[in-house]
Amino acid sequence: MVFMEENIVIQTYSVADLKNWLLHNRAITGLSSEVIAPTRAFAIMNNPFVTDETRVVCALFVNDKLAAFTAAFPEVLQKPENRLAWWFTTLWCDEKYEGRGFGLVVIGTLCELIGEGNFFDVEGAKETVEIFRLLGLKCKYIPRYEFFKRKIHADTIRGKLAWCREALSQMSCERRRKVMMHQKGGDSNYTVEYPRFVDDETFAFIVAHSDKDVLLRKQEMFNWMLQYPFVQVSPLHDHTPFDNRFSSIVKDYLFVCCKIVMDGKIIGVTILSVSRGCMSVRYLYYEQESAKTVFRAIVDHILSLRIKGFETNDVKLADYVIPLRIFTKNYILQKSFSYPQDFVFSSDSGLQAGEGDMFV
Amino acid sequence: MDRKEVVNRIAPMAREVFEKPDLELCDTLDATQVDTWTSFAFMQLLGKIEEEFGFRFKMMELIKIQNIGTLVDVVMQH
Repeated sequence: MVFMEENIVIQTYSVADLKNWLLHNRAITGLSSEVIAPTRAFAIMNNPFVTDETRVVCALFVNDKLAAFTAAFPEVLQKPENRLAWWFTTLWCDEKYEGRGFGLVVIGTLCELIGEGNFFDVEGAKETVEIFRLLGLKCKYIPRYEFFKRKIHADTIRGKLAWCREALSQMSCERRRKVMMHQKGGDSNYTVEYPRFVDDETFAFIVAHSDKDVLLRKQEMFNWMLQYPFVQVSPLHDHTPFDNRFSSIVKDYLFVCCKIVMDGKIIGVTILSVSRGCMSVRYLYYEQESAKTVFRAIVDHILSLRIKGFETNDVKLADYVIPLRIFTKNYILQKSFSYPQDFVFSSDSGLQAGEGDMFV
Repeated sequence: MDRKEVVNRIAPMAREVFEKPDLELCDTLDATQVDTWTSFAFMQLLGKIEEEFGFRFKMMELIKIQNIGTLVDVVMQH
C-alpha cells in the first residue's frame, strides 16, 4: 500500500484569536465555525478566568483539511480553594482518521500548554477516558439517575389516537400530583424565584450546602454559565441526526436557576436545564430538613412542564421521585470523571451533574 | 534494539487490543485493514507500548504514526 504524503499541521488558538475572528472579522488561519461554534467561542472569550493570551482551542489539519479539534476553558475553583481547573468541552475527529490518535494529539497539545495537573474531564466517551488515562489522569465513575416515561411511538398509536394518549397522560399527571400532595408530605407553601444571576445571598447558601461535593465553582463561574450556556450551538461537526434527549446539540432548551424559598428563607437552590421535554438537575443544594419540600418543588416543575425524561446525580432526589411513579423506567448510569493524580476524591464525596462543561 | 525485536514485543499487545489472536504485523498494516483497530483500541495499544518500553509518546511523534511501520519507527527513536 502506498501512503499519501500527509502535511499535518497542529494549530492552537488564543482568546485574542477568537476575538479577532468574531469581533473584528479578521481571518485567522484555519479558524472557522467548524472548529468552534461562534456561541461557544463568544462564551469562552468572556470566561472570567481567561486573558487574551490564554490558548483555548487546538485543531489538527491534514493537507489543509480539518481532521480534529478540541476546546477547553479554565476556572479557579471555590473548592478546593483556588485550585485551577481546565475543562475540555468538545473533541471531534474525522472518522477517516479513526485509530490514528489525533484526539490524543489535540487534547495532549492543549494539556502541554495548560500544564500537568490542571486538567479534568467529565462524562467522556470511553476513547476520551482512555486519552486522559494516557495523559496521567485517574478516573472515577459517578452514578447518574435517569428516568423516562414509557415511549409510545406514533407507529403504535397513530394519528387520531394520539390525543387520547395525551389526555390520559394529563389525567395521570394530575392524579399523581394529587396523590403526591396528600401522601408524600413536604410543605406546599414554598415559592420559587428565577433569578438571572446567583447573587451573594444565594451563593452563600450554595457554599453552606455543598459539604458533600468534591468541587464547588465560584460565584462568577455560576454567573458565567447562566449568562453563556455556551454549548447551545455546537460546531457543525457535532450536529448529529439522532435525538439525544439531554444533549446540548438540540437548540430549544431552557437553562434556569431556581431559588426555592419558604417563609422568606432560602431552602434550596437548583439549576435546571430542560430540552425537548427532558429535564436535567445540573446543580442542587438544599437544607436537609427541607429536602422534601425542595424535591416537591422540582417534581412540581416536572409535572407542570410535562417532563418525559429526567436526570439527577442526587440519590435522595432519585429516591423521592421513584415511588411517585411519574416515570415508568429508571436507570443508573455511570458517568466518568477524570482528574489529576494529586486531586483527592474521598469515597463519600459527590459531584454535581453540571460540573465541567456539563452545565447544559 | 533492532526493528524485529520491537515488532515482536508490540505484536502480542496488538493482538490483544485488536482482539485478533492471529494478527500478523507488517509495516503497511493500518487501521483500514483491521476492523477492530478503533481509536479506543489504538489508545490502549499506545498505553501498553509506553508501559512496555518505558517512555511517553510526544504529541509530535504521534502525528507521524500512520501504520505499524511508522509506529515501530517512533518506538525505535526512544
